Order: sequence, then C-alpha cells, then structure tokens
Amino acid sequence: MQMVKMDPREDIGGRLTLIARQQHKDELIRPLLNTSKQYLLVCGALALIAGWGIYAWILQLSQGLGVTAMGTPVGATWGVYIVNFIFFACMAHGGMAVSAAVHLLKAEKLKPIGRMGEVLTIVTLAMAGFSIIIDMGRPDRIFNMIRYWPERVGTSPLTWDITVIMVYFVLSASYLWLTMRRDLVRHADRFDLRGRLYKLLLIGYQPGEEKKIDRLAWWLSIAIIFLIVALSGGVIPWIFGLLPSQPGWFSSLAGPYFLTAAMASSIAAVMLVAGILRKGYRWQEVIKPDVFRTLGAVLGLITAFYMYLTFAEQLTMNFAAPRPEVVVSELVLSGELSPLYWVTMVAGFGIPSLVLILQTIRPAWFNVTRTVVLSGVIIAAFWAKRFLIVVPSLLRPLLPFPFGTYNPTWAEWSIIAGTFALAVLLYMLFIKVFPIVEGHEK
Amino acid sequence: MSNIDRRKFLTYVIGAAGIALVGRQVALAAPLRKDADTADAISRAIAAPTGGGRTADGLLSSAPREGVRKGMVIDSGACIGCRRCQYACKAENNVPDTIAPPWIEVFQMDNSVSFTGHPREEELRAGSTTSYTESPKEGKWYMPVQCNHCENPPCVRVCPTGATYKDPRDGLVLMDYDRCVGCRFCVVACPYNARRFNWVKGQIPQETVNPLVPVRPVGVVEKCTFCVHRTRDGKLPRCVEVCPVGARHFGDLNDPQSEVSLLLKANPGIRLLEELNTEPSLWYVTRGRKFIK
Repeated sequence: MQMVKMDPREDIGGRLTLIARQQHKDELIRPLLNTSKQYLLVCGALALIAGWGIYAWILQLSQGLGVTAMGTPVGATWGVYIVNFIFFACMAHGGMAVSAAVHLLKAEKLKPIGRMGEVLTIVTLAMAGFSIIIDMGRPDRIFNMIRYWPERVGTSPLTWDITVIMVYFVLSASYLWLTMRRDLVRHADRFDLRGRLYKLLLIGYQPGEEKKIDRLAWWLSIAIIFLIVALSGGVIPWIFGLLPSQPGWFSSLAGPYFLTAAMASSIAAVMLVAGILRKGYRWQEVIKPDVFRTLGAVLGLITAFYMYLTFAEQLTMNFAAPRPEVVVSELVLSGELSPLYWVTMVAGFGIPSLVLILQTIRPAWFNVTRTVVLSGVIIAAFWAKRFLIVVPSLLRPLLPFPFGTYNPTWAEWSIIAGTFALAVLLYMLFIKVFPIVEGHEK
Repeated sequence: MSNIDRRKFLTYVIGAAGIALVGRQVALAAPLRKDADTADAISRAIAAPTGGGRTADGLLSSAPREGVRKGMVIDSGACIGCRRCQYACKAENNVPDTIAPPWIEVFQMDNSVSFTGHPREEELRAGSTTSYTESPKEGKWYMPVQCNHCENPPCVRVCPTGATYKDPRDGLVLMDYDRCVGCRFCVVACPYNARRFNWVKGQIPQETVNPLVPVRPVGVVEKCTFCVHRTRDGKLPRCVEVCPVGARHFGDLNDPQSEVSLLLKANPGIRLLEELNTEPSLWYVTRGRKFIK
C-alpha cells in the first residue's frame, strides 16, 4: 500500500533491498522450501542400506552374536561394533565444541555452522548408543544397566559411560532446542505441518525471551565443554586404558590420546557436513571459505599432534617394553594388520595433515573443496585407527593361547554400513524439518 | 660406582638376588623340616585316595561358609596333560560344544614356553600350546588354566550390572546369568582369558544335562565356578575328583591345616600374572611325579 504511493524511481533501491533481504532470508531455509530429485535419490539409497543393515541386525538378534567373526578366548571379543561406538561417541563432541565455542568465544564467523555441529552431535551420539546395543549379547536386558546403576556406578567404566552419554545427550539436545527457538519463532507461520511442530516446540514462548535463552545457552556450553573432556577424554578411553589385562590399552596416555582423536575427527566431520551442505544449497556466501581455512588449520595441527601421540605410544611399546606390548605392537607395525596401519598413518593422517598445514602457511594454496575432501579422508582414517586400537590387543592373549584373527563377516559390515546410512539419513531428515543455519539478527 | 665396572656391578646384584631367592626357598621349606606334625599332615593329605571318596576339607556345607577362601593348587609337575579335567568339567557344567575351549584349557609347555604371561610370538602361533594330540610327552610339562577366582577380580569391577560378583563369604567369583547383558567387558578385563561367551545358543542333549547346573542362554558370559554346586555341598570340584594323578588339590586357603595350605607351606607356589595384582586363588606348585602314590 505504501509502495504504491511512492515514486517508483525513488523507491527502486529500497525495493531491491527488500527483495534481497527476502531472498537472503529464504536462502538460509532453502532445504525447507524445495527438495531436489538428487536429495530424494540419496535418501532412497540410504534407506536401502539402512534397511539392509537392520535386516542383518535382525538376523543377529535371532541367531546370536555367532553371525559375527568375534571369538573368545582366541579371537577378538570386541569388534567393529565397539570400534563404531568409539568412532561415533568421539565424533559427537567436536560438533558441540564448535557450537559452544561460537557462544563462549563469540566466534561469529563460525556461527553459520554452529547448528550443523549440534545436530551432528545428536545424530552421532544416538548412533554410538545404538552401536553399544548392537554389540550386546542380550539387548533385551538393556535396562539392567539402569536398574543396577546405583550399585555399579562406583566401579564400572561402562556405567560411567552410560551416565555421561545420557547427561551429554540431554544437555546437547536442550542446547539445540534452546538456540533453535529463535528460528522457530521466525518461521512458525510460514509452514503448515512443520509450523505446528515448531509451535509445539515453542512451548512457553514469550516475546523477548532471547536474552534469557542466551544466558541459559552460555551456561549450558560451559557444562558441555566439561562434559566433552569427561566423555571423550575420560570415560570412553577409560573403558580401555584402565585394563592391565590388555597390553596396548593399559596406558595413562589413553585419555589425551582419545580426546585428541575426538577433536580431530569431529572437526573433520563438521567440515565435511558444512562442505556438502554449502555446495548442495549454494551457501557459498553464507559459509565463508574462512570457516574452512580456520577449521582446516586446527584439524591439520590436531591430526599432526595425534600422530605424535601414536609415535610416543609405539616407541614405548617397543623400546624396552614387556613382551606382551611388543607382540601387540608387532601385529600393527609389521604383522597382519600392518597394511591397514601404514595406509591409515600415511594416507589417512600424514599426507592430509601435511597438506592442511601447508595451505595454512601458504594461504594462496588454500582450496575449500580440497579441505573438505581431506576432512573426509581423516574421518575414514580415524575409523580405521579405532579398529587398530580395539582389535590387536584382543588378538594377543597374555597366557599362551593360540593367536587369534578377526575378519568381520558380511553381517558385521552390513550393520556398520547401516549405522552410517542411518546417521546420514537422520541428518538429511533434520534439515528438511528444521532450519539448519542459524538466522541472521534482525 | 666409578671403581666398579658395570659387569662386576651386575654380578653383585644378581648374586644378591640369588641369595635372597635361595633364602626364600629355605624359609618356605623350613616349617616342613622343623614340624614333623605338619609333614605328616601333608603326607596324609597327599596319600588320600583320588576320586569320589575325598571331601573338600572344612567345606561340608551347602551354603557358602563365612571366612572361607576356596582355592586350588595345581601340581604342574605331576600333571600329565591328559585333559580329563577339561572334559569332565565340560560334562559336569553343561558346557556346549560351541564354547571351545571349555572352561578349562591345558597348555603343553616346555622350557622355551614362558608361562607368566609373556608368551613369545612363536608360542602363540596357532595351536602351538593347546592342540597337542598325545601326552605326556618327553621334555614337556602341562599347565591347566581356568578361572583364578581372584581376590581382586577385575571382571567383577568392570561389570555394569553386577552379573558377575565375588561371594564375600567363600571367595568364589560367580555369574548371575539372568542379569548378564552380554557386553563382554568382563571378558576383556580378565587377564587369564578365563571367560567364555555364548555366541550362539548352546545345544546340549537333554539326557546329558546335569540338572544341578543351569544351562546358559545365548548371549551371556560364563566361566569356571569351582563347581559351586558341588563344593558348597562338601564335594570336590569335578576336575579335582577326576584327576588320575592327583595333580589338583582343593580346599580352604584360610585354614592353615587344609590340604592346599599345607601344600603351599611346603612348596614354593606361584600364581599367574601376579604383577597384575589380581591375587588369584589358583596356585601352581611343581612337586613332580615322584610324589604321586
């Protein structure tokens, strides 16, 4: 109405600004507005893989863990499921860490990927819990862990894990919910079905609650930072590091070692997600290359530091170590697992971290796509490295039992693939239901 | 230090250690020499017939008795590696074929094989110690292993449900099969690899099931119980009962007059992986075959 009165020649600039602002606003919720054919195709493929994994899991549920290649006392008592558990649980941290850093350190340039990290945390944490359930011989009795929690929390590192993971899940879900309310208010009237969900999640909304929410989120991020250390630098490594029965695990280095791995793999995962969404939804202007430059540099350095820790570990296990340590070390350095080990170390950590560090030193060499691809490589390498932590010690008993071997069966690989497909699928569903990029102020 | 060269220094150190060791042996053997009664008791204990007639001394009670610490002494010098204990245990305790090895495993050892938890790579190569087909073999000795019923059991410590527990009354480390969630944390925490897991449902023919021992469901952990159903009823564990050479001895380690205590008084005993501070209740002595009557 107003615009009609205005002189078109005078107003053209203002109108363009309005249109630009509208487009800009829509840009951030592009995943909510339109769904491409590729998206549906990928979803379909992932659903197939996840379904196949669930089929394999049902098979395992009906026949027992005998469908796996695990064994005891000769063989690996824990296998790829526990590897998967560590992988996902540790990946759950960086996402929150990035987001918490945005709030605590006021790292504004990381803001567009903050929520991507939070959602990554929720999804991977769920997959970590799922991996534990898959690994259990009696998943039907899972509530025994809750039932006997009070008498076991004093000594069992697994009980510590369940505790911290649950607290962490609740806190990060609350954090995600609180920080998303602002965007839900903004978009509640634009969508019908989703709008109703938004309104449900906006329970207790009062105009002007933002200030209070910021305060809550600030305190939550402090708690979450502590929990990250407690979880990936604490209770998860202590499942392994506290057991003198397994040479190679028993180490006070376990905590820092796992924490470093968790930081590297999760920062890599945040970058991978951000890189894919940036390309898919043409968010080149939203997620600036600077985000990848910063995180890439951090990732390169942390990965290099992780290699140093690995060197320290292997040196200790070889120099004048007790024989069980040497035997385990031999298995990975020159034994049957050595191909995996050296590919992981050189192609998975060495070259990527070197490139990431070099492109930090020489900004002219920086390239977003390369950084994202290297993040993917590092993520895969960390899965393999977790395998190389969990399995070798179990194949070398302390008493003179025969050597064990462990080659996961098709059922195990199917279930692992299923968890990955499910994780990506959940993520893709999330971006269709909720705004994945935090809206701009005003 | 500057006056003594390194070689000499080492010689002194080793010499001192040697003297200390010999001193310990003498000290261990001392009560036997001095106390004729004890010596008599030992010979009586050893002379007792193997097999069904024996009872576990001081354990005649179906309930666990307070203050008892059930323990076993295996005379690996006497063991002929026949594996009767292994198979009798398997039958007694309803261990299915799908759990292999069963609760007891017997290693064939020689002087190139270390037994204190630091096996060499070549020893660990498939079957070098457990797949022997005839015994006893010249130049070999045999070491049965099973659950050590540790005083400080790491498996109990890590269990998230309390499914595995140490009975404070008689020291047995036992399983509650209904609580176990099958996470296998105890399996990795046990340095002796004494625990087994039901990867699949075990099949035991109905007519051979021992009704005194529960048949385990799929997905739970199990292990040697020191035949809790027998030893709390005054009987010996099945492995002790069937041993044809009397290499296994069972009793109350807290009772200084029990067979096991007397044996340990008279012989230097060792326990496996003592450096891990698990305090096993399973001892090994090497009295040798000349003591078998």
